[in-house]
Amino acid sequence: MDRETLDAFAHLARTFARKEVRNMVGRDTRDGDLALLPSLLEKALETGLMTSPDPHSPGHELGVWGRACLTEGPTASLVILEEMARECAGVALCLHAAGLGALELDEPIFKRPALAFFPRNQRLTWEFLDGEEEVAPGPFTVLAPPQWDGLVIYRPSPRGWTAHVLERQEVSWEDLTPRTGLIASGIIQVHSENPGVQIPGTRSPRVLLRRHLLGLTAIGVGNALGALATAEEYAAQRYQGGAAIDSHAAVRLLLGEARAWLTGVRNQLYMAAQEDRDTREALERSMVLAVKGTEHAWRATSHALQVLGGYGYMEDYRLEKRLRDAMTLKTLPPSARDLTLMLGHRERRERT
Amino acid sequence: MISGLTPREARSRLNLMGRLLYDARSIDLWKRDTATLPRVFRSMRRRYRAFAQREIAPLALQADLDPPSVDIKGLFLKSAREGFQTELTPWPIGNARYRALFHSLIMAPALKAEEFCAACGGLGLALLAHDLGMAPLFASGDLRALFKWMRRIYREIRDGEPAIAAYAITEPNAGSDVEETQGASRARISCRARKAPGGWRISGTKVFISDGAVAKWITLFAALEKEGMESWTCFLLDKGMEGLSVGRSERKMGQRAADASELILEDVFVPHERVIGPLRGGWAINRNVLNFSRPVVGAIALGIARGAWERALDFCHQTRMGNRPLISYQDVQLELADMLAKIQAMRALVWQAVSYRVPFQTASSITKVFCSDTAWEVCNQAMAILGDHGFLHCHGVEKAARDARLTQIYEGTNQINRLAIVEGQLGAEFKIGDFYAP
Ligand SMILES: Cc1cc2nc3c(=O)[nH]c(=O)nc-3n(C[C@H](O)[C@H](O)[C@H](O)COP(=O)(O)OP(=O)(O)OC[C@H]3O[C@@H](n4cnc5c(N)ncnc54)[C@H](O)[C@@H]3O)c2cc1C
Repeated sequence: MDRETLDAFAHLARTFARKEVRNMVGRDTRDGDLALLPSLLEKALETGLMTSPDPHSPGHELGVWGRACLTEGPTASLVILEEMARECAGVALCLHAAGLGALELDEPIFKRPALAFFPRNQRLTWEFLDGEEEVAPGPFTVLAPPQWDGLVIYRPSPRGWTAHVLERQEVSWEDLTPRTGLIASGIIQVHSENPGVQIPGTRSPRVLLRRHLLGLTAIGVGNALGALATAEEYAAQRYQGGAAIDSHAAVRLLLGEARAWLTGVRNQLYMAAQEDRDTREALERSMVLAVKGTEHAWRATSHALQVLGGYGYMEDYRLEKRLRDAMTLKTLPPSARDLTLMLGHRERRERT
Repeated sequence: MISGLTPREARSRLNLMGRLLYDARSIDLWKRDTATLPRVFRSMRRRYRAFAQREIAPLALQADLDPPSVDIKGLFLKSAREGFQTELTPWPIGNARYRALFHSLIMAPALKAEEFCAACGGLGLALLAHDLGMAPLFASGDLRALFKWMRRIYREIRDGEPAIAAYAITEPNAGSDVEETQGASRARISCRARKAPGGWRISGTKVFISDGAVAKWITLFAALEKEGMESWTCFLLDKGMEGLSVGRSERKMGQRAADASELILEDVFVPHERVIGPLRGGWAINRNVLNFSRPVVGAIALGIARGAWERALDFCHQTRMGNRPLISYQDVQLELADMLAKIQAMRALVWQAVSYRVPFQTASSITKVFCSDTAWEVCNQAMAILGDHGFLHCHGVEKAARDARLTQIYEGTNQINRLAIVEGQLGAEFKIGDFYAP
């Protein structure tokens, strides 16, 4: 995808985020006026930022994880996610979840499918990814788009990974709330004894995992960049110690360190997005990014909060929300520890 | 073959003397550490923990989700009945034990802070902020303040009144500036006292005051008219005073059970007898109160981190992952061990800081900075250990992380406290001629 097209995407997403998402997040409520979320997502669908399995929907090709990512790579999706997260990481996660689910369906049997991939009681390992490890019975943690109507479950089989679909009514599930942050998005626990109906094709959990990890990193970076923008603006205006606080080394160090981390992660993110998607190296780079990227994004967000002192800890400037979102993002599956263990598993790496 | 190689089995091969010198008992660290304390503190530590587990822990999650639903004054009175809210000074004013004060002026508040905040950072702060509010009466060295006011407030509490005290220094335009020297010299302070017949009239606004809404008594600092921070004076106000009102109560990220409120003063008349310490003695009192209270903030952070660690440990014992208990994974053990090491280091530092005869700036700020930064790390490690349970409120771990984050901000941000570490050692380790240069 050329630079101009990407810029146009970024512009569209930024305009939408500033108008619609900012309005929803507002200033008066802890996590925004969630009653506005369904109509906001409807607009995101109409604008083509959110993806649906329906081939006639505007975002089917070019929305977050729309079909175009299969041929053009993930960059456009990441740009949209980053821009959305600059206003609200929770809304960005909704688009991420909707896109991942939609991409699995060749037929629009559901309007908004959710994707179940992470068994809750199982560690992520190379063996698991290769389908060599039995999936432990138990629930899945699922990122579900609001008003999800069906579920796509990944299951290992002797012929490789397959996908199975279930109607929402066929599964029992519960919302994972109350929780730290990312309140706008659905994070649910799904129990399904029912195997569901298999849909055609084998699946590559590696490709899916890479998409997911890059998406989470983009959301973390966008969220932290939004926090940094607020902190920089505040630091120029807040007077303490006889001057605007951005003239103090203590504050400059916080802002500078945050910027250094975020610039590094962001550059790596978009470089990683250019890579050939099916290679082991590409997956590993996305794992490195998820481990270090979400951590740096979290640290940068925390630095931004510190720049505001006590005011950062209050709901008013939304920095506490951003930090709660960053903390939650960091703990979404797969865990950084599992990814780190996989990265350190050299023997296995040589075999693959 | 493991047989004979475990520490306990290996020890059994030694003679009596060797066995006595080799401690391989399975005793938890809380008990081991308690045993190292002077006798008077051992029983206090046990009592604080028992109270925290009985009265604070059961309220913690609810108090975080819905702060108004918890009766803070009721909890304060329960704590007061144990003697925990009147123990800054000994008889005939309060119920601190002479033996305890002889060992350390602030060991008791530090032990209390760890235990209360291990149960809940927010409720812990709500109870501990009272000691902070009372501290100027004691740290001013003003005997009248002690015998007249502290005795009266403690008597009210013993008589069953929730006579909570709050400490008010921060203003909308002076946060860090009321915590460090250079900022203070250029601070834009709004809270001012104007001389009036029989006393002073104070106007201005204070913000973020812990227990501001529930307190009856407030030790409040104001500059004298047309003077700067060097004129800061400490006044004892009470909520019955005309012109004193509570403004907005803050909505915070964590420690949500503890109220933080704005106090609005509109020409509040304060009689002479309510001046604590000398006129223009407020800055010194404030700086010294912070020397007393920052190690306690370190202990708050320590308690929060310990609470998160204990909950994470429970979780690892109870949860199975891939058909094995989570605790049996080596990487999980490494992480838990790393957290425990940090917690032990925090406690060692707190106990060392409170062992100085009189607390002083450098040691107090070092403790506050190290413990609060470390608590934030430990709590986030605890969240990570829980995996995709980490963000769930019901486990109390993410709450601990949110609670811990505040300890890096209040009582001076950690940046300001680092500057205090340098300032405290000027002329000693640090020889910086132009430290105060503009
Ligand atoms: C929940 C809560 C409870 C509190 N309870 C109380 C209470 O009971 N009583 C009370 O009086 N106060 C209380 N406070 C206030 C608290 O002590 C202040 O918030 C804190 O000192 C920081 O001040 P500030 O928020 O105005 O931040 P600011 O001073 O505006 O600081 C903003 C940023 O600038 C930096 N900065 C400021 N000045 C300098 C400088 N000179 N050099 C380098 N860097 C600088 C800071 O480090 C920070 O990163 C409470 C605060 C909170 C959040």
